[in-house]
Amino acid sequence: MNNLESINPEIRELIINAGGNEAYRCYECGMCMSLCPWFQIENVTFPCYRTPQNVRLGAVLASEDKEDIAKEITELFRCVACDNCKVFCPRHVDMGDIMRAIRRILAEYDSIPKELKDVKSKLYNVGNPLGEAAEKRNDWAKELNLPIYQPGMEYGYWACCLPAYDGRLKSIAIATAKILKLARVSFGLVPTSVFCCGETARNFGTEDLFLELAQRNIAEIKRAGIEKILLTSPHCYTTFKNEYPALGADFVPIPTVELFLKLIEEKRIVPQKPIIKKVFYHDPCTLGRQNGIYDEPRAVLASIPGVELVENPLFAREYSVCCGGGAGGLWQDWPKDERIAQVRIKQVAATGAEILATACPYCILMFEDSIKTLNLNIEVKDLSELLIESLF
Amino acid sequence: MSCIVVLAEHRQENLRDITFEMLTLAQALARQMNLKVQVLYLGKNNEANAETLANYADEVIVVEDALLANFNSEIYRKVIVSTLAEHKPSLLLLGHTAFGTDLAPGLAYDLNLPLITDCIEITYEDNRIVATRPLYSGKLNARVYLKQPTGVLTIRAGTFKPTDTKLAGIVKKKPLPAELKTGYASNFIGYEEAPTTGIDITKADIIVAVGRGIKEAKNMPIVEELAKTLGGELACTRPVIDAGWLPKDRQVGSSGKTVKPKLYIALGISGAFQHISGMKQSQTIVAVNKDPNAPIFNVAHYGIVGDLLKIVPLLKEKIKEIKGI
Repeated sequence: MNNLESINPEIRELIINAGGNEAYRCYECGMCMSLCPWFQIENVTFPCYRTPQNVRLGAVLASEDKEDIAKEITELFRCVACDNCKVFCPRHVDMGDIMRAIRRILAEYDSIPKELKDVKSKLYNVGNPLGEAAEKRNDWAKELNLPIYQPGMEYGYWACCLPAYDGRLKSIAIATAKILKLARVSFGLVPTSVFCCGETARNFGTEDLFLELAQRNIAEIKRAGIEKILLTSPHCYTTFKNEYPALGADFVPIPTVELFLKLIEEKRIVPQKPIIKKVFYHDPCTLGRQNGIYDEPRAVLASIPGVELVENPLFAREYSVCCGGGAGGLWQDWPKDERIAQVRIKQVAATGAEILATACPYCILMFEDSIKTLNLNIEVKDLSELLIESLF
Repeated sequence: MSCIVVLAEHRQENLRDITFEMLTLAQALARQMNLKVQVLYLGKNNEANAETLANYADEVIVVEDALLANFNSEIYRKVIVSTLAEHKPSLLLLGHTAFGTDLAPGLAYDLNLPLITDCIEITYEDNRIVATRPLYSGKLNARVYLKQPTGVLTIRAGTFKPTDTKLAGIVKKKPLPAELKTGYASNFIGYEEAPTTGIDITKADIIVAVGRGIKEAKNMPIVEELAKTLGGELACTRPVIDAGWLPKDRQVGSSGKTVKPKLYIALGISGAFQHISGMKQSQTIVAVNKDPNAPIFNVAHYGIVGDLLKIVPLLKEKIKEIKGI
């Protein structure tokens, strides 16, 4: 710290009030820094291990030079909320909470990257980060003739904004709906009055926006009478499971992968058509590290005849490296040699995998992008897309 | 209370379009309100400019001094107030530009007039001035009126056509009073041109955009030729920038530029949402892609499923044939 005179203890109070209180447990061992995915990128030294120390000192933005501060803010928005640091911290410091607390303060002053300002205004305006019309949320299902949830049905299906609106990802929602129909699962779509789950908004610091989205969703789901809600995206799932109950949610969130496995085990669907490929399963942070779901997706893949699961235990399960799409990363644009997805996809390519399978729409977009940039020959598929291929 | 004053905006003594756009509006309002159109010009060497402006106004007031050669809101504000003091205008129009927004609030205060900013329409109805101004990034328009038909208004650039109605106006020169020559806290230091970054694709009517489907740098001439044949500009997706095949100022998408051309031809572009958000408002979108399921076809008006390396040369020949070149 070469700028001690600029330390302002008030910022410490602000950060603690915003939820960053665990900084005090940190004993500066540096574990978090070595585990941070940014650590693997040359030229970038994401200073997360110094962050708890800076919180204690009230020196988060330790410079008085405008350019330096802008640079530091940019660094703070590198965090993808993958929770690698949190899971392995010997002192159980929740770096994710500290990062969110700092970003909340920055967001209050609208000091957030311009791509995220754009996402923020789209969420405020139309309730989804893509800026698409709210009433088109269920348009992906037009040709499938799916009903809106009615009381008496077992599940309400929540496709997440990305599969609902993005041209590439809607095949996930379609595959999921077809699997459910084939297994004669009783389900209906959530009404188009719901908004984005708010996970991204929460992680990049716009807490008020998150609360607004969450409260609306909780009210709409209750109004529809949904008791069990089926979720494609683990980002929605982690938010529904870990954040919504405190805001009054009483419905049960279920990730689609969990139901897929149940349907396979109960023989309500039987994967038959072989997919003779080497498949690498990538653990999304929000499903794996944040919610401990590691075995179910692997079991679903193993049930598909022909699939050969390839894995490097150094980079699997809780050691999985983030795709870089979390906490707003999907919308941010880093220079081409500063992208976490490229670090990860190289690890995948080294296993000889022909298909990267995952269970998260964010991961799919991030990896398909880096595959294009690196000119690799790997297919990226959602579990539901592989499963439906094996069923028909 | 006898005239509508338009404050002429110039940069380095080059009149800016907004001045002539405001004159269109001022002439129309003046006819209805039975007022004269006056232009106020502050500058240094401005014979030619004053004469140009006199073609479109009843009167051009010129205040000449080396101090006024470049915009300085502190000096301009004092000079404008002093010039308008004798005959307070009914309406004072300024551009809703960096120049106008800097001056308008202070002038409104000094002249004791109400202020409406960012007007896209101003009408005179039942002895009232009614202004329309956009809210929430243009999602809503608010109509507001002045209680008395007098006030300061800033006008959004590009909303009105530059005037072509001629009026034979006279030029009146006013010297800068001695007491206004000194005593300012700010002064003009220098003028720095923004670096020119080549081409601005947002202004093109026709855009030929290329994605990773082009495969190799050596294939780029194929799309360049198509753009040239059509008289359009070349644009691209981020992976093409990453590969270093085109410069960053040609990138379309959420981290590049947003374009709305009449014709957008997307070649070998899968259609990631980050790209689509930058081009979906184009009038006509034509997509060529090998993959029939590529998301780009969801926004395209016309689609061709096939290899761009084969299709683009055929397209180019056909266009040449139609154009007779």
